[in-house]
Amino acid sequence: MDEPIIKVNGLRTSFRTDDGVIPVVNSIDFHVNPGEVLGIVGESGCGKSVTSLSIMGLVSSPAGKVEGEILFKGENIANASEAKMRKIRGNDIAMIFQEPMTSLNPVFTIGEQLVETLRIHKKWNKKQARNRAVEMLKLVGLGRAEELLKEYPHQLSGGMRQRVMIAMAMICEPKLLIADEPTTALDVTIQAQILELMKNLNKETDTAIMMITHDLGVVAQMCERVIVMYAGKVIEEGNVQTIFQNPKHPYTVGLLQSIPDMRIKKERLYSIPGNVPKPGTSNLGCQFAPRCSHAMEQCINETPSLLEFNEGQHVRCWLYEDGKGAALHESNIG
Amino acid sequence: MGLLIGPVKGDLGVSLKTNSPVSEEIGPYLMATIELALIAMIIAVVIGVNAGIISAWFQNSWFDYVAMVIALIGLSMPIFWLGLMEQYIISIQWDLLPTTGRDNIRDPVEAITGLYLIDTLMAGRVDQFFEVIKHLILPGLALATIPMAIIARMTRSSMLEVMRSDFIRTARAKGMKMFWVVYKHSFKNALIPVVTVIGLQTGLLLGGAILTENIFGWPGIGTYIYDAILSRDYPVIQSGILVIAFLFVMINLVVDLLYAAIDPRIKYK
Repeated sequence: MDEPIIKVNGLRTSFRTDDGVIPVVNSIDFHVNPGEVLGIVGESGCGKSVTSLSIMGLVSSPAGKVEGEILFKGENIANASEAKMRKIRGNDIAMIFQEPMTSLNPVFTIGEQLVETLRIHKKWNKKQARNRAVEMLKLVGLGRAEELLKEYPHQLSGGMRQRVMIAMAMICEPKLLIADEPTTALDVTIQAQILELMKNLNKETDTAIMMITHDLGVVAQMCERVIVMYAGKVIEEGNVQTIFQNPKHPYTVGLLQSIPDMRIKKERLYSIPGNVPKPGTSNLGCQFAPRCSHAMEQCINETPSLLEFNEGQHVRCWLYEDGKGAALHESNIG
Repeated sequence: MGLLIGPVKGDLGVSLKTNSPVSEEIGPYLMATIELALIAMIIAVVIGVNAGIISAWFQNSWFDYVAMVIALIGLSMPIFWLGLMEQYIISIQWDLLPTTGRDNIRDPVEAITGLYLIDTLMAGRVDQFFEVIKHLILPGLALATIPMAIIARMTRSSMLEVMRSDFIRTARAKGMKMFWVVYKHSFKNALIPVVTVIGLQTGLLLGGAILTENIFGWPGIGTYIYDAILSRDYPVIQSGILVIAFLFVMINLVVDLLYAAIDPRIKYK
């Protein structure tokens, strides 16, 4: 297998607040292979977006602090200089955001904003850049690309704007595209189109995608590998099929159970009781223990380590430390 | 009725003191005020806008604190006192700049436009041109103080709001230099309230510089109306105020038109 494009080792991102230093991402490890689509799932507030901002070097300093290693092409870019990160951003690693309505600058035309990225990273003349912009707009499925260049973001719909954002991110042919909940703000039909588009782009170019989402449906449709995050930690990792058919961590099981199933008529849709803990509240034990129906004494006091199973599945849970997990599996997935 | 229709035809009445039409007399005064107000606004805008932008960019830095404290002092500055202090220290103690007047009166240049900066250049008199600049600095600075402070504070708060937007994060994610993120992407979005304030302040300077003009012996419209008030020359007072009001409204019209040029979402039909 090829070298991973990005390898994150022990990434810790913390923010200094009035209540002290609060770790939002707490020592996570993962990697993205070339050309693959990696899903990162978790509820709101579990550190997914901060992880991506850490990779981009966009964590606001001095309040935010990034520790650990982020290896890009074998080089550590965590805390790299601003000048160095500028060359990587938009060129090697690009990012699209959750809110297409506000992510484009309202006072510049689509053309200006597309061409700008090229003019930052490539020494192209105006005409080349313009042609490339038109080509990209067509690639993301926007007709009448020539006219669009002269239009302003407010003249476009949400779906169109997200397509423009994708065109803008892909225009320099990055190695990695970080998509931070790209479809959350769109309606369902547009969601499907945007996901389809991203999947096609991933196949046509060799850009890897890091798909951050809280929607397991998106993961099932798009990703090959998936990481489940909870309270700033990776709690389960594995192939999409393995995770969907054989989830091991009680949290993953809960997430999967809370997807509505058309075939089964239930009184009420399952939801995991409780909320994601506020970052920094406690560091002891398994963070999920207070909400977990299988919690044991051990879970509250000791932090479990990431255990490896076959097919690259990793789980961070005490249930599996000595084979007790089989019981959970039987009782829950029936 | 004459009062309403006259001004439209360019008839502003006759001065009781000099017996000549106000519309003819007021021209040179008006141009003197415009020249001073423009210079003051240029100083205020260049310094105020940049101080505001840099304060927002480096929020909570020492520059931010120092600039905002200075702005607060500037905002509450009694201008007549500042003008007198400028004259006392810079002109009299240090003997650097002239205290009053518009140019070197021993060798004047013929007024064509009434803007001496332009007249001296048209006459090819570089010496007088610099003389005019020297005369503009002190009253210009005094007049610029309050607008500068207001513009700096408005720019800062407007920029702070814009710099939190999603599209600023997008611009940074593109790999853009922070300088361009701030001066191009943020500033154009922050411009609307700043332009509004600049327009209002320009309007105020055109009409309300009576104290400053008197201190610096500036033959502007403020001095003109002030003298008219002292001699109860009512046609001059009325017409002078009418002209100031007219200018104020025109400047606000220009500001409204500028909105559409700045923000593509604003359109007039």
